[in-house]
Amino acid sequence: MEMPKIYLPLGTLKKISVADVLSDSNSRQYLMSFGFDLDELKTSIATVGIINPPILRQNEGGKIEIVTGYRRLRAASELHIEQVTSRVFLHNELAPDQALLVALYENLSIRTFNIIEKALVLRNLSRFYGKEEIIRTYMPLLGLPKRDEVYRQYLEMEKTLSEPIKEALANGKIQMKTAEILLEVDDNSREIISHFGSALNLNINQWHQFVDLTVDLMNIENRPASEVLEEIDINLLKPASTISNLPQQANAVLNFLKSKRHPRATAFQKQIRKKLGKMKLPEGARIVFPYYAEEPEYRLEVSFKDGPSLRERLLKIANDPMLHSIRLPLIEAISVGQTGEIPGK
Amino acid sequence: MRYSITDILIDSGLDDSPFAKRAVDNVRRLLPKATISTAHDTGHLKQDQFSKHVLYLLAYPGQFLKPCPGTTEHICCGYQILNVGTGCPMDCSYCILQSYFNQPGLRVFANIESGLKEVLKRIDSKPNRIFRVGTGEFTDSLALDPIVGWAELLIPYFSSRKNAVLELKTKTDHIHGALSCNTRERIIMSWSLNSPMIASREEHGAVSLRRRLEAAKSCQAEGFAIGFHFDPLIYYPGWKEDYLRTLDLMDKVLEPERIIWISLGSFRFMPSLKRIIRKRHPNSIVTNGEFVPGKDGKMRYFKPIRVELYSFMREHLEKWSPDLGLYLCMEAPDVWETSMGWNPVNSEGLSAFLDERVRKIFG
Repeated sequence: MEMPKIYLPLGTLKKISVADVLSDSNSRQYLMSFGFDLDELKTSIATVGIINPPILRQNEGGKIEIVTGYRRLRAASELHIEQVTSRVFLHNELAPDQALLVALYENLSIRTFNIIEKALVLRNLSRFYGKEEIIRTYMPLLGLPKRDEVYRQYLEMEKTLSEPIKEALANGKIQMKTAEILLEVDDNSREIISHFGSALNLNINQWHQFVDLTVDLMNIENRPASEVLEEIDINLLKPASTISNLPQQANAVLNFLKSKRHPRATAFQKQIRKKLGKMKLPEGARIVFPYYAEEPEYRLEVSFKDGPSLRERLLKIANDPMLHSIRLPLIEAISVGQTGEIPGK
Repeated sequence: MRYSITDILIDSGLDDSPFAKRAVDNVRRLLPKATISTAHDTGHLKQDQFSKHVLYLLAYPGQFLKPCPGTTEHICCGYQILNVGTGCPMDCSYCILQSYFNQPGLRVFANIESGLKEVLKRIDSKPNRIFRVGTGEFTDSLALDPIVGWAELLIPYFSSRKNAVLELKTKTDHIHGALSCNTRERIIMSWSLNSPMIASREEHGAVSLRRRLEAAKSCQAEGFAIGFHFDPLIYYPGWKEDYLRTLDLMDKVLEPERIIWISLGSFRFMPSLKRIIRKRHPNSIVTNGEFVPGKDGKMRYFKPIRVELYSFMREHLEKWSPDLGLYLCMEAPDVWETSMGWNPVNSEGLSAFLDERVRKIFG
């Protein structure tokens, strides 16, 4: 399909009140920026002024809409610049769909969009174009695969996720696959999970584990997030808790959720750690066990300076009285946690 | 089973092939309201990736016979997949095809007859090797049989070969095509089985366990070798009682004779499938178990749970008959040893065991 062609006239250069434009709620309808940092732009404007004038459109009602330059105007506002020279188009000089394409191509020419910005672009495009056309023509421009489910997912994300989660996504603090899981749950649960995770200051991988485990438990126990996470509040987060800092608290929360989600594997890990801990291993030696008993063997790691020191360490290990009690990982795993059946719906 | 097919799309150039003509005739008879069009005329088709409404008849450009991809680090059975199509009109919640194919619709390869020539040439070129061939990996072997007539097409080719068997694996009772063939030699009619709860709750569009077993009984009575696949076994509250009900039903309906093999496999999946299942089948319980990542990247039940599933099934199946050719699908040697009491050591060992079952049943 041939892309639409727009030959943008010069428009009229006018000094526009920054405060007036930014205060109008209609002014953001072509906005494609989310989660941005204005510091660099402010330094640039403070040094050389606004090099590229914003493009504005005066709609049928006389209100000014920002087509491009929202960040420039915000930066100007923060620098207390009252008026900015802009290229202004009358409504009959620049139709709304054309204005959107101007905004899109200007952004594409100077930067890459983050995930939420791509979602914003798709939502804006959906005001003027059909789904098929957006998927075929515009999604590749955004670096997205031409797939219906991807289109739907981005629109749902833009519509459904809370601002803090959108910000975390835009800033790369949570992954797309984490957001996808959040889309599965109801608004209230999503809010509670987001709030809880934010309070723990989780890193990107911890965020994914936290959301995945919580939503798994919600499904298995058929309970909302509030009830699943309530137990954590009681056990780990009460003021009298001895856990004093956030990273430890985050790990404790994740371990608690893991032990609920994987009770038998967790019991196996606990038992085998305890058993191996009873061995009097020489310095520089350690035994690594298969975390989920998937591998059929343990691994012994021994550091040594020379042959005699290796011999000495191996002999010490070989004579450890605990050795005889260590069985195949699978047999160890079978021997613990035979508590019956997992909970289900 | 009821089809939800509303559109038949034939790749331009294949309209005149006997395969496509036969399929079109059957569609006109079975689905008189379905639209039949050629592939360059797809404008009216609006569908998603998982659509069961469109049946494509197209030419497959690749090799028709390929070894089952299996999975690394596990013992595989050495099966050969005859790729007759992809996608399935049924909609089992646990189906791995949901994450395998990024292509919409049901796809049937209408150039199968020309592809078969090459396949048979390969089989004939290795007379000392037994080719265990199946069509049920990327589609159900018989779900579309009333339309495309796979059984009648394929059975004669495989029946006449002494170093191959063809397994038609299904969750339907579409056995008419197979029964109408003159021969039963080297053909295995097999059914996927599960507990009644899983069959009714998770295997959307499949026929009931009783109907599957009645179909197996008919095939058995007509002289076919039969097989069963308890795959995926699902661990949930009450699973033991439920699976025993299936075994009781087998005992009531069938004689444990000419059963070439029964496989056991526990639910395993690529991590990405979990989200798809939750989205497409929100009431499914199949992802609720205690799954851990395996060495091949797939999620599997924690090993002791797998051992529990297999040991239980083995114990009760062996009470029914000690000679069922029980084997595990894609499992580790220690799981074999602990649950089955023996261990084929590697994939070659399992292949040899299954080849021996073929010799025992077919000579």
